Amino acid sequence: MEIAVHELEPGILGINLSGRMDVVGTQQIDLKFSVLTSTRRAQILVDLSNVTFIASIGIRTLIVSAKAQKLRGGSMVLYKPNDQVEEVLRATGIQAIIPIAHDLDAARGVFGAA
Amino acid sequence: MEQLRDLEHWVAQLGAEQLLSPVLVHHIDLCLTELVSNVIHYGYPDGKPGTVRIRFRREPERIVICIEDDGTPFDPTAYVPAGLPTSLTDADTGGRGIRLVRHFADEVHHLASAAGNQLTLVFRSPRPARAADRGA
Repeated sequence: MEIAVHELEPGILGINLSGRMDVVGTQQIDLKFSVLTSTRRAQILVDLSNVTFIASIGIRTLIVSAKAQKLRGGSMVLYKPNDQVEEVLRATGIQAIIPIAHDLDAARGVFGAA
Repeated sequence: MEQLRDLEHWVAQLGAEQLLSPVLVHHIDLCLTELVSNVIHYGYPDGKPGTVRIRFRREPERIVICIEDDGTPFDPTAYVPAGLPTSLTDADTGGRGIRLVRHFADEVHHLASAAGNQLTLVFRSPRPARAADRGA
């Protein structure tokens, strides 16, 4: 897996993940993702549009970071998962605890409400 | 865990050869990834070597996949997953793999064997249309 980070717009950190988020892939990005998402308060948009597959280990990484960010007073949104990835996320009820957005306005709305 | 890459490629090849739909290939891929990861992680404590065998069978209207291992006995059909999370604060960080397998496989059967475990997954799948049928 690969991970890239950029300031999407003032106040919103964009983290782009790409590849297969299984055991092997998640191990490749887990430490950097954790540092980026957990060490300071932020509004974080995790772009999943280039994630081709997600397994439970990948969901675990997302939840651990979202929890840490919430403790800091920030928030996280999952952005544009493909149909298969979103099907897996919804099968585990993740959309109820980490919002999923498919456009930037919806993501901004989540951050504004957080 | 690098063997999981071989598994991923095997499933993709299987899907291409058997003309399985991308959605079905994804469901098989996910279930096998979860179950084989579990076996590798928990089935062989203390670095004990082991073997996991996966067999595929196509029947009318369904795909049957058997996973046999010689690791620690574990029956995923007896495991009771936690309920769906209602708040981020209270959500468990792990324990979702078996839930996913039960969600995406149409049937899951476990048989404890002398060697270890035999798990059977069933996925309902209509046969792909033959060329003659498509042209009718």
